Parts: sequence; structure tokens; C-alpha cells
Amino acid sequence: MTSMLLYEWRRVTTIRATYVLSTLSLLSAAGVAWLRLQVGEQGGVIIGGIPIDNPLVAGANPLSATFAATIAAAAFGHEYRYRLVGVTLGEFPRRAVVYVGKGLMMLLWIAMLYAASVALAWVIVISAGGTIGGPDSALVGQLIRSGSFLAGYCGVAFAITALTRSLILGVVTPLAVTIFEVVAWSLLEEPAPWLTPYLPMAAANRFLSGEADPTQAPGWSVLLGWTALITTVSYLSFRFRDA
Amino acid sequence: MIVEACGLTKRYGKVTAVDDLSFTVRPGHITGFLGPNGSGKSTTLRLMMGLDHGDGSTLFDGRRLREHAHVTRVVGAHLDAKSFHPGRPARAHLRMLGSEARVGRRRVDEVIDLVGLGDVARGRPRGFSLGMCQRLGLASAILAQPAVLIIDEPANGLDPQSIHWLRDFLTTYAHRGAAVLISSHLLAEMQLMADHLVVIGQGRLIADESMADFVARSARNDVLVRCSNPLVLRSVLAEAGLVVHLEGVDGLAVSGSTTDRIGDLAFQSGVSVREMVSRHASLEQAFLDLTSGVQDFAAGAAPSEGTSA
Repeated sequence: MTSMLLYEWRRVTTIRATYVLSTLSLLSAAGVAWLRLQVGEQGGVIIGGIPIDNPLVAGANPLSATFAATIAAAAFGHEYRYRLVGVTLGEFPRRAVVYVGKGLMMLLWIAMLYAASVALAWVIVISAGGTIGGPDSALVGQLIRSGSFLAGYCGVAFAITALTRSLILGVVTPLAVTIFEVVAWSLLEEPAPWLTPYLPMAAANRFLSGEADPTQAPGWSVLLGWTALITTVSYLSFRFRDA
Repeated sequence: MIVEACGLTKRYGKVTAVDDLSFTVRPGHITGFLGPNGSGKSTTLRLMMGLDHGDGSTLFDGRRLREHAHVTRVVGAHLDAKSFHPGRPARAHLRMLGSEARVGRRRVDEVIDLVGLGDVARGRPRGFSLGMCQRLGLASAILAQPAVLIIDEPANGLDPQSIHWLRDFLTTYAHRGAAVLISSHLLAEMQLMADHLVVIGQGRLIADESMADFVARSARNDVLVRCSNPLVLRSVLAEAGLVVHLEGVDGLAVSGSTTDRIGDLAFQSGVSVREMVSRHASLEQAFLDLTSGVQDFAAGAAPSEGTSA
């Protein structure tokens, strides 16, 4: 596994696209953090259904998440697009090692990106004359939830790319699901209200807001279930299909 | 290291692409892997490397590839000339591929120089010619100095000098004790390079023998005799049990004997010999003879003069 992680580290760090996308993700996070700072005192802003009143968690905004998801999708997307998968499996014939190694390196990079976005937002807040109090459990909880959401979102992009062998589908499908869910919600709200809490983005909203509704399944469990389902199907497909 | 392919089989629905194929690749030899288009060569190589799933197994010194500690020290494969990210510099590509066997920078630079990519190693391979891509692929395969090389069509896109270099390189590599399996359509090149052949057609094994034995199987191994009286000499040779065909005005094609014996018989019969040439079939001829009935995608006859293409 160590060799696979080294392989993945060298793969990720030796292409320009990784740095371009990371920079774009950070710049969007900085932009959103600045925007939140400007309008924060007016009651917060809602983008993509996710409350974004805290500048420090701007790294999980939809635009930054999409750039980060593109990096995640490239883990398998480039393998198939540039026919590298044969070379990779020629070095690491155990496919579980390849899948897990790529997943771990993807999560590491996303974690570093998220940490950088938080640090950048911090600098923006301080530069703008704002103040951030000492550690408080609400802030820490929000940071963890946003970071987890970003990791899950990127994980889904990663898994869909491995499943479909298409980087574009890996990036676009989670976005398309978000749009589809708006339609699905309106169609299902009356005939099947019990179903709507299990839609992924509805669960994401509940999870990110940190609000607990005893009548509904916890947002984190629904999100985790969707991510686990997609990842399992994706892994089995990678494991048993021809390369 | 001995490579044993045992009962390799691959089916796509009702179509059997590779059918119970077994052969051995021995160390110290270059084994040529031949077959017509669509005969299952690439699928076989992919099965051997574990890229495709099928029945059967490939053992490297008695163990499956994934059971070896350092896979890249066991086998280096080059199955696709363009399997690299066009934006990743060639040197970084090789550094990445060296991760499994922990190949150092010095070895990476050594291999880059060996394949002649020193001047472009730090550049992105986006604009590489096919020949340069082949060199990069070969560099990837030999990076960890594996005991086995499996290479698919390595000479495609190479200029004559590069092909000559490739032949020398692979021959030297094999003579140092490595087992080398090469699939190629360049039969003339294969004849110069390989000492053993595995030939398949429609996914089945047709031949697994030495180059010399394979070529000797062709009916084109004969002696051409031009003489003063071909009809007399033909009857003399036929009486001696040789297979003789008239060829041209004064020629005979004689199979199953040597120039020495034919010369003696001609001398004894009083026929003067004007020319006598021992003709050996080429690998190409032998290959065409043996695979003529197992071609999946045979083209029509070449257009004759006066017909439009």
C-alpha cells in the first residue's frame, strides 16, 4: 500500500491540472468567504440550498467543491482517458490496493485543500478587520461537517468516474443529481413525503445545518448510505470488469 | 524466470477470443508471438498481465503475478504505445512508474539515456512521435530491470535505425537471462530477432516451436535447378524419390534434398547444371502458409492491372 500511495502522490503532483484546479478551488473559496463576510451581518446567504453564513467553511461551497471533485475524478478519469490503467494494474495487480490507494490519496489531497481554504478564509476575515473568537464547539462542528461533506462529494465523483470510466460523467453526475433532486422533490413532496428525506442533497442540507429532526433519519446517515452504495458498486465494477 | 501460460481462455458472449491457450516463455530467449489480425494476441497478453478476466492462469516461476513481492521486478510490460498522460513530463512519468520497485532517480536517468529520450525527458510528451512514444513505453517496461518482458508491437513507428537498436537491445536483454515475449506484425524483423515462436489463429495455438523448425515446415524450402535438359533430370530425380516440379523454361523446383545430392544425380545422368540455388522459406511465407485457414479478417485479392482500385 505504501508503494501505491507513493505512486498516487507522484501521479497527483506531476500534472499541472492538479495545481490549476486546486488554485481555482481555493480562489472560489476565498471569493465566497469574502462575499459571506460582506453580507454575513445581513442574515447570511443561501447558495445551492446550503446555508453559508460562516466564511471559514467556504471551501465546501458548490464551485470549490466542483473543482475539488474534478481532481478526485481525475484519479480514475485520467487512467481511462490516457489508457494508463493497464500500466497501473501492471504494477499493482491487486485491484483493491489500487482502488483504496487512489481513494486515500484523493481524500488526503481534498483534506489539504480544505485546510488551505479554511486558512485562506481566516486570513481574509482577519484582513478585513473581522474577528474570530476562540475555539467553540459550534464552529468546530461546522468545520467538520463541511469538510466531511466536501470529502463525501468528492468521493462520489471519484466513485462515479471509476464506475463510468469517464471523468466528465464523474464531475457532472453529482451536479446533475442536485438539479434532478429539485424536480424530484417537487414531484414527491405530496405523494411520497416519507421519501424526500432520503434524497441525497436534502440529507446534505440537514447535515450541513447541523439541525436534528427526530422525525427524519439523520442527514449524515443518509449521505453515508448513498456514498457507501455508490462506492461499493464502483469498487465491484473496477474489481471484476476487464481493464 | 519461466513464464507458463496455462489454458488461457477468454469469451465475449458466444465468441471465444482465446481458446485454451497454453505455452511457455523461457529465459534467455526471445519468443515471438504471432497471429493474424483478430487472432487474440493482444487479448492473450492482457490475460497474462491480469488486465482482462478469463479462465486459465499465467505463472511466473510457478506463482501468479500478484503473489510476487515486487511485480515490476518480475515483469515489465509495454502493451500500448500511448499509455501516458500527455501533460506529465516523461521523466516524471518514469519516476511515477518507479514507485512500486522504489527505482531511484539515477536509474530513471539511465533508462532515459538508454532509450534516447535524454533531450526531451523534462518536456511534456504531448507532441511525441509514435517512435518516441514507443521508446518511452520501452523505458517504462525495463525501468525496474524485470526478469520478463512482454511487449506488444514495439517496432511500430520506429525508423530503421531505431528498429536496429531495438533488435540489439532486446537480444542483449534476453541473452542476459531474461524471458522476452514480443508480439509483432513485422515478420522480417521477428525472423531476425526471435528464436522461438508461438503462433495462434482464431484464439487457438497453431505452433509453439523454434524459429528454425517453424520455417522448415513451409513447402517453400526447396532447391532450384536450372539445367540443359529439365525433363531428363526430372525423371532421374523422381526415380530417386524426390518431389520435383517444373519451374520456368529450364528450371526444376526440388523438395526434400540437398544441393550436393541433386548435383551428384545430375552429374550421373549427364545433364549439365547451369544454376543451383537452395531456397529457404522466409518466416513470412511460413506464417502465411500456416495461418491461411485461420484468418478472421482476410482481404480480397490484390487488384490486377487495368482494374480500378
